[in-house]
Amino acid sequence: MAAPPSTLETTQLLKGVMDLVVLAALSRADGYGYDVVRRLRVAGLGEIGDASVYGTLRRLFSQGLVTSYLIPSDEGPARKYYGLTKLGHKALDAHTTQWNEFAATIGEIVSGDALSSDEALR
Amino acid sequence: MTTMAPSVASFATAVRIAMADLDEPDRVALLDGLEDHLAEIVEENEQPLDVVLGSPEQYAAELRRSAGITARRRTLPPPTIAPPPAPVLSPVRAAVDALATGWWLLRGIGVAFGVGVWTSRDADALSAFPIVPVLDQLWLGPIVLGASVVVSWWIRRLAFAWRAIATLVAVAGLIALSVEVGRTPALVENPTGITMTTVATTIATFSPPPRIEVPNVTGLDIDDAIAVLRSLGFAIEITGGTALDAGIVLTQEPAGGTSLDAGSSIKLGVTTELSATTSTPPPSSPPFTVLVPPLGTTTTGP
Repeated sequence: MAAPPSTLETTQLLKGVMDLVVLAALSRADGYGYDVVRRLRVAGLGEIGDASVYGTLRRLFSQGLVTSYLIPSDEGPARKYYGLTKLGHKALDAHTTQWNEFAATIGEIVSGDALSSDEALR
Repeated sequence: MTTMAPSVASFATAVRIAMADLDEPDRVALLDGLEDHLAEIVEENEQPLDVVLGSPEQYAAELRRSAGITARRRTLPPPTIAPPPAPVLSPVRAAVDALATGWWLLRGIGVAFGVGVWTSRDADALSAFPIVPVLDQLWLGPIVLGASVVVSWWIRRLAFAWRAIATLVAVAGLIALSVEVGRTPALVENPTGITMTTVATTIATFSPPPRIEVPNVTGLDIDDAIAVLRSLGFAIEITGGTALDAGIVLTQEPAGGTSLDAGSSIKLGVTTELSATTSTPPPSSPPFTVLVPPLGTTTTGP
């Protein structure tokens, strides 16, 4: 990645949620690989790695969470579109629940609420 | 999109090289459409690819990591590295190796023969060749021979120096034996062990057939001539006329009184009843030739 050192952490953070964000990006509409990259960047993940998205799509495909099909393109060869399978939707739900719990916990930790008691500090 | 920028091609090639160790399905799945995708990125960003994506190696590593392929799948080197060449034996070395299988046997025999020749003073004893006596004792020969072969087999894994010594002994023994054989009259006269009986049998087998005097059969009825000549062991070749039956032998070749090998062919010129009375064969009839083999062959006769 041609990213400044300060964004390395973002890249690290993203690693754990790649499946979640890629599944989420495809949950409303199918899209080809670069579609997913663009959607995620537009949504605010400017640092998301191109190769990360492609590799993740490949892995989700091999796990049966996304399916793929070819759509002829006006400008060049046919594009490979990806879409969620039933399994993919289930996985997205599970990931979302898990993420929400995790994010809430982190939020509490960061806000200091969860660390207010002596017990937690020990 | 129709023309690919060189940077796209080189970037894609570098990525493919970095992924070369992957199994075919993974590689195809991950790299399928890579060039098109890179071209799209170039179009959109209007920046060099390595600025947007990092180095091809980083890109490949990221692709690999996010796809869950952390370790190199194949232990094979990348295809650009040639495998080490297989060791090639020189023809001489290969020939020596091929000989090595039976070499210990030859060596053992040579040593035994050498010992036999050196220890035996009775030259006549060597006439028992290929049994070479030891200490002039014929019965010791095979024993020493067997022991020598066993020892030769036994030492075949020893150091080269030991085997070389044994080999030299064997060569010297064989040379001594050949010299001794050359000096032994019995072996010179009959070095092969073939007896006169076998020679006589061989000669008898291939001896030329006996010569038989040919009788004069001209004037005889053809059937009688055939019977006489066949009983003597001749083959008969009949020419002339139009019909075989009732002919009379006019000519014979060779003439009566000649001696021929049994089985030789005698040509008989015959006439037919017609030609015997008119002396003129029918002009439309072509001359014929009939071969009659001698008695004792596989044919049934005329």
